[in-house]
Amino acid sequence: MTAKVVNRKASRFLFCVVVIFTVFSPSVHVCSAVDKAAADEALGLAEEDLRSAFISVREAEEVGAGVEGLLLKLEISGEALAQAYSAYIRSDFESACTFATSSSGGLTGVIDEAQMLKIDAEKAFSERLFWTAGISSICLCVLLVASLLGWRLVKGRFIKQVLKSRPELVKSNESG
Amino acid sequence: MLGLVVLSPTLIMVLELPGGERFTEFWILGPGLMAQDYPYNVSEGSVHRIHLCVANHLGDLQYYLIYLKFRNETEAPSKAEDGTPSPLPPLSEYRVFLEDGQNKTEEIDMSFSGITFEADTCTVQSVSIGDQKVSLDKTATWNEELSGYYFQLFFELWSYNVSSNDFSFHNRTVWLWLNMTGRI
Repeated sequence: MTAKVVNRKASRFLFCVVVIFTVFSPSVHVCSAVDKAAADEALGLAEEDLRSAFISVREAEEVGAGVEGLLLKLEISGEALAQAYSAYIRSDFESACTFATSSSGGLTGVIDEAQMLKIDAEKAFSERLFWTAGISSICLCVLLVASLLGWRLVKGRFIKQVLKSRPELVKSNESG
Repeated sequence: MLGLVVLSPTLIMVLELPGGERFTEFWILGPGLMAQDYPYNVSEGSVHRIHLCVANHLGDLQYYLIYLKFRNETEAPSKAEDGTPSPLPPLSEYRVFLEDGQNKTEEIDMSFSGITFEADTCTVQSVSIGDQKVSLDKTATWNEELSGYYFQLFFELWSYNVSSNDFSFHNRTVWLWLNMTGRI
């Protein structure tokens, strides 16, 4: 009785393992028994991943986002990809594939993070621009009003001076 | 005039002012990070250290690809003057990401093995760059004028072009002449 239960459990476990392996094996990047074609494919994918990640990071950097952390990830992935190519040159296709997969793996989430940083930087820039432009406009208005008032004041004083000086001129003319 | 002064913080944020000259620096330093003591006379197994440096002054983030190549005196070099890279395959490569104004120094240790001499030729079987051994199988003939078997180790700088989605030769190359005889 006990042996039958154990056998049943074992067969169920084996069945589960086979099902899990069958379902998930195509989605996992396998690097065992690698030939040149598989290494080529892995290198191509890693190269494309690195380029896409770089473009995203560059876009974020262009709008003023701090991308130091992302650059470090790019550096590490770039180093892994360089090692993959070195292995490929030595015809070590298995290592090439492993390094290429590691390079792609190191870039997980970089594009999303770069896009978030880009949105944050754009938002921060818009806010900064709004406040700077607002303060500048207020200052410009104050400057205009002050200039007008100042001009009126100066003009008034000048007219007063002219009016004060006129009788003296007349007097001097009469005496002459 | 005063109005311009008041508006200048906003104008600085909106207007893009022309920068200085845009270029990339690319150079090699010796073992002590100085422009001296470069490896020249090379013998079997001896380890030579150099430093490869690159600095970005292009105004934005750059993705550089540096190829390390090796040739004898008769093989085609890269020609920076007409923008032609060497057709030789790279032995190794370095990928560098630099923001504007940043620079990077890469430490490179190299040693050559399988150096054999026959009649007036010298053959080098392999080179170790860091911990990677790469097969060379290059032959040089005796240079009467300079008294040696000369090989050139050179680096080509390529940069990633976003619009074409590919790397292009950046017209920068640096090199070292190596005398495999060990004689001057």
